[in-house]
Amino acid sequence: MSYLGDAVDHLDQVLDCRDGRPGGSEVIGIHKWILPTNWKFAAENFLGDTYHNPSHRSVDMIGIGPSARAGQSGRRDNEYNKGQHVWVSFPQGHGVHSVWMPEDQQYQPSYVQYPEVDEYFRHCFEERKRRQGDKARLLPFTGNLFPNTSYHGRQPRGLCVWHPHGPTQTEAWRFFLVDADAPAAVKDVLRRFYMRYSGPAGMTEQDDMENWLYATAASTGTIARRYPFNYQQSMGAYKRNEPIAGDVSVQITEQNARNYYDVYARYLKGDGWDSLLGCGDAVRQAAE
Amino acid sequence: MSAVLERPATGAIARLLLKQEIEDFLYLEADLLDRREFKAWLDLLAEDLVYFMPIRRNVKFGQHAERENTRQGKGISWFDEDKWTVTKRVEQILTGVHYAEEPLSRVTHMVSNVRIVEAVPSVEDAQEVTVSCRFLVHQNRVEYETATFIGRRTDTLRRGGESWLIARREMMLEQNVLLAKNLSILF
Repeated sequence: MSYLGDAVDHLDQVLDCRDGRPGGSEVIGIHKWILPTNWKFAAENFLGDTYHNPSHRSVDMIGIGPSARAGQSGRRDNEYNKGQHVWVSFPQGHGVHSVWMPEDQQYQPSYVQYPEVDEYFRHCFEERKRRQGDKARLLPFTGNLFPNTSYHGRQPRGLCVWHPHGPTQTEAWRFFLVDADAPAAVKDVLRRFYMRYSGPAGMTEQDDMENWLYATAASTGTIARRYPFNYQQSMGAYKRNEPIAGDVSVQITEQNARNYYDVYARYLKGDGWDSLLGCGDAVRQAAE
Repeated sequence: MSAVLERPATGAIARLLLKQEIEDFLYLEADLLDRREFKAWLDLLAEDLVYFMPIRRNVKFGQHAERENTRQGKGISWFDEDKWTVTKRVEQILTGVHYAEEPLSRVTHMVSNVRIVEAVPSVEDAQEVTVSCRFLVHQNRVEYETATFIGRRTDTLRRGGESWLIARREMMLEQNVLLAKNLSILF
């Protein structure tokens, strides 16, 4: 737990049952594939790199989400409607993009062409609110647990581990999650959505892989190696522990990436665990 | 002599003619994909299409039949989808901003080892045919990127008007860890 730190609150919301019971999820399948990219491009994508979103223009145009058959565009339902997007980094190097929902949050209709599935998630929403109270305001979107384990929090839902095969090749393992005791119809709709969204056959993520390949190839060039990457987006634009634990930005930021590489550099230097886990503000202030 | 030719073929001749007809269809279909005539290709898919590519796993000897392949209708496969989803894949390519296929890959579908497994109700009057083949799909994109997909395929074809329609396509890609970064092409 000292390794996960406060990032565990976000991870819990990924792994727990949709109705807020702890645990109870099952892995319904695993993707394994090789991609010609540096593993950190993938980790960073989930860490809170929100401005890569235009990559997914094509799926947003045609609509592949759980309500697409009812004519809704976009690649997922609008579950985060009215919420405050937050980009949060943690002393251990983790970074997440979550949404802090309003106190009086209401269920957003989703899975609209499948009444049984819509009803299941409506029930889960109310149950979760009842069980978790204020904590239920936290909805996970994406995140990366330092250094190479990423997640998708809701649509789709799963863990992805990026195994380095050297600097320019990565083996990805993606684990897909559903509630173990969900009705069969719910599981079926989810697995179909996961397959068309995620991984090498997924219409959304194919376009990520294309980016990472060319970003990796370009990074090996002479000129690219001569200069540092620019990570200056939204410098200093965060508050500590407000409204939730961690360094919280309410605008799109590279703070999560700056923090991640700061911790990464400490590992390369061979720092002790106190430094690596960001214990004490002194380490963090010095790093900033 | 013409009376002889007009008599419906039976037995071995009927089997040969059917095989030729089915092969022609498979080659035409592959050609549509390679020539990027995606909408014309969609027209060859039955409305109740099953498009299925399992993930193959490394299992202990003796467990292959039970556990080697992921199952249609269960869990996660590379593809386990219907015509709506395959149509979405085509729509996505046609947006012109599907970056994994922009610019479009250069793709060659090779189909061989064609064998008719079953013809219903009969070879002489085939309305539905199960056909087994091997595929070798070569993808080259942009400058340096190449992927090769080799495997077995089992198709169920149904007579639909002037043509055949693909009612079921099971693609058995002979890989465990996928060695390509994407499956952005159609099989």
